[in-house]
Amino acid sequence: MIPQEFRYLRPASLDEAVAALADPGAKLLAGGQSLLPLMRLRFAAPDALVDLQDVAELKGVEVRGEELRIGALTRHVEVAGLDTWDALRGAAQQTGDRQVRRLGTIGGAVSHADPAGDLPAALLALGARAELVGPGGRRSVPLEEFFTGPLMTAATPGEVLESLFVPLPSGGSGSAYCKLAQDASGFALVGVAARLGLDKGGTCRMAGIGVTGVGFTPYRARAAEELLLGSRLTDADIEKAARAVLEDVEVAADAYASAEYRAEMCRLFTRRALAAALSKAQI
Amino acid sequence: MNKEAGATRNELWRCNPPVKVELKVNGRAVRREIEPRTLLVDFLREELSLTGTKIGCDTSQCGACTVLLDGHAVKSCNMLAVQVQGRDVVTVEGLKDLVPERLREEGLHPLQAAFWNEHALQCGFCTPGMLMSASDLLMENPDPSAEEVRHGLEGNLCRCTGYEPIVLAVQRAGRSLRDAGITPLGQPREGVAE
Repeated sequence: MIPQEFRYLRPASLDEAVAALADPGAKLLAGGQSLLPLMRLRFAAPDALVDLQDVAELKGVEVRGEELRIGALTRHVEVAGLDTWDALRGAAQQTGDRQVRRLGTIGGAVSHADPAGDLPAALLALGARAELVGPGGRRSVPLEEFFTGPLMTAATPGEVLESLFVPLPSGGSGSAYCKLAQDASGFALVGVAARLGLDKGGTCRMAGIGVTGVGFTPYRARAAEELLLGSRLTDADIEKAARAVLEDVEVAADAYASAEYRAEMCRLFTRRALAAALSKAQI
Repeated sequence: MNKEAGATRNELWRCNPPVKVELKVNGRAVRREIEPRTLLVDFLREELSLTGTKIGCDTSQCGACTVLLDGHAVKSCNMLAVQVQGRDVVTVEGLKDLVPERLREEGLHPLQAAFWNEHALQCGFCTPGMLMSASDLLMENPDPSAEEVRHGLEGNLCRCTGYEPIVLAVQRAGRSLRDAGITPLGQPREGVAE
């Protein structure tokens, strides 16, 4: 279907983009790989579409202090090629398909906040944060506080997601993203990203687990992480964490997977992601 | 807000003024005034009569509408024509022109020739999209394994379920292009001989 009519705006700077968002009927367009399908179904019918492609402030990837700054307009195919955490690259590689990865952006995927999005899981596990710019200035939001519901985020309607900041990998750290994809759509029935950091003696000093496809939003499994900190990451430790990964989570059920199956797969993929992150941390 | 109720065509234009787009399609500069909501696929098919690009699922899953944008495969049903202002689009109609004439077989691009020779189509509806995605894949990986072709074409569906010959055709085209020392876009490529 053809989208409902809208005014097309193409700001040349972040300030102009923020100004354009003052119209409550305006919506931001990045790669368009989630928004345009919704507009064609007329689930979304913005009065004005603010195309961000010329906004230079939203582009680029660079190291800033102890973090990697990834501009919101960085495309999945570019994230997949970054020299960074395996979990992040893996999640980007497994997002959508070839054509979608050419256009879709990391900022778009995070802002769309699909409960089964791949990149959110990786960014949660890595302890990333989002920087938002709005009429009131700039603020930083940990990804853990960003996803507030299905397709809902902590960004206010006037704010633009400018960049994502990911802590740099350190010695003794490793990560992985493991996904059980629905065969036809490729969406995650379950996706688990894990990040581990070991001290020289092999004790776990850093743990991050991000889960997608299971709850109403992608989430960080704090209870499971706590069980790993200070442990030696034996099979038994990993098993304990996997059993805790669903704590306080209402597991979704749909035509593709019952809640029981999803829960079982979530524990299995948590074990796999932790084992893969551990083997990378030990290299 | 229901803008359509009681509005004449002219009033609609006033509230959503047409926008000018200028882009290159199959090497030719084109210029049109269009509604902002015009999808790239409709622009190609309706404005330019380039009907080789297909509308399959209309939900951005099937890949039949895949075209090359600045050399990369994208789904033209999932883009607005205004987004590609100033950029370079190649549709299946322009594919053969990317390679020098001497490397065409019966006037076809090596990818098209390989699909023909391997009988990699039944109804042929998915073929234009398959060709464009395969071009992108072979740009990135001139010698893909069968598994890599399957993964590389995951964004394109064939409902005649003829995937097997499609995989063979892409590998065959890869061989032809390597032998010719060029990429699917016709640029010289060094050091990929077997």
